[in-house]
Amino acid sequence: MGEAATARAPEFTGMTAGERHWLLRRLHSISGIIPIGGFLLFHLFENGYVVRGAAAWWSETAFTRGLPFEIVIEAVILWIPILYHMIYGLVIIATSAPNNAGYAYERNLQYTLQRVTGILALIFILFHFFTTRGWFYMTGRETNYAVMHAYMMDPVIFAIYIIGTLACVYHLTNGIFTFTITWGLVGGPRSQSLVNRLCNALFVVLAIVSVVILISFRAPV
Amino acid sequence: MAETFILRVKRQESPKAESHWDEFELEYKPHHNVISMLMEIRRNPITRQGKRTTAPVFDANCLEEVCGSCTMVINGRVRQACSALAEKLPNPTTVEPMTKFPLVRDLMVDRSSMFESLRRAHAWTPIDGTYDLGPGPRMAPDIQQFSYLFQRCMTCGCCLEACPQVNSHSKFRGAAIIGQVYLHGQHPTGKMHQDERLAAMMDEGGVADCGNAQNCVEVCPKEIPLTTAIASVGGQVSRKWIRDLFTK
Repeated sequence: MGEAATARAPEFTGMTAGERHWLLRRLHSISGIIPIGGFLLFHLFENGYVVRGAAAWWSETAFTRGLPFEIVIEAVILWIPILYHMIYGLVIIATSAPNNAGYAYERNLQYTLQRVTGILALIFILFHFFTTRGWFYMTGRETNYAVMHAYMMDPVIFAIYIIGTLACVYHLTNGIFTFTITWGLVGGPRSQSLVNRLCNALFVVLAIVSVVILISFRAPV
Repeated sequence: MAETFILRVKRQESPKAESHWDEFELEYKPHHNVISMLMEIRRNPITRQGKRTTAPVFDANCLEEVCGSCTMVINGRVRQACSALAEKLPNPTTVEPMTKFPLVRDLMVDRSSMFESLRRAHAWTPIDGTYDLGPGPRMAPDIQQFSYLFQRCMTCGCCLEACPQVNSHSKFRGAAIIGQVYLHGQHPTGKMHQDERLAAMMDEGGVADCGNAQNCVEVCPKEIPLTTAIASVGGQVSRKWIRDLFTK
């Protein structure tokens, strides 16, 4: 009996354990960029109008407040991917054992920072959601300029926002770099080092933008 | 006694016993290395405090950093003990076993999990048939040369020891096996079986579990471009996965 006896069309067998594990990891990787990373950039962009004053910010962000099927769009584009990224991120963090003391290399520090900022971002995003959008769904109170201004004038909430947004921005920019390795887009040490530096530069730019936006909310109406 | 060298050795009688430190003081010789010092201690195992103890157990073989068997954590960093020269070490120096492998005794660990990884991932190139298959396809010299870097892997375990993603609560099998999957996928004959290796890399513990800390490439004594292999194998598995999604 040779090949002819055993060769037949493959049967549908469903996912193997390996394929399931791979799918969960890849969904975590891609959800961080699309849609979460994309949304973070858009969120900074739309709220950037606050540098032109309270009225400009309120009118320019009207588009996102008036979307049709808003709750469906929010759930599919934001809540489900973010919740998945958070929960599976915690699973990944649970498998790590940082060793920066013994192996004090730059990438190893970034490895640990990615996990620390992940946890900070998780806490901040939940806090941010429940005090703005979540509050709106529960009480009908819109997050208008007066609300944001009051938040930013509170020193504790302002500090939470500064730390939280910087954590989100770092987690995204470092995540863009590791995404390019994970998917095999950037291979060699020289190209990886270049992309790493570009992502660090992007972090600096987005960090400045974030802080400027948060400070702008402190301006009186 | 002339100038002396102090070696602090982590001792553990058995996998379940409590560990403790023994300090040994020996005559400083500039050409000593950690293995030759351990051999000297083994001949006369008396601690600095004058207490007679058992001879420290350790693995060593080639004594020229090509076999990987004497890999230990020296002053907190993983490396081969045979190429850790006394003249380049701080005094005192601490010597511990690797922590990512089951301990056998003292400085000796069981690295068979690395060989199990090679077996699971089919990290070899089958060339034998029931008859002479003739010469295989030719290989471009530049690919040969780059592949050679990966052939220097001695499964010493440095990349696993330094990896924050390899630990008792993770199944990640480390960088060495990813390097070997890359190597055999570069070979024209080995490439014919690359899908089997990539399927193994998809499993829990495979390339997706890498956390990109990149300590592996920093500590590899053979300077193997492991992170290049990780990116390439990550891409290869991704492409195979997407191809399979649409064609299987």
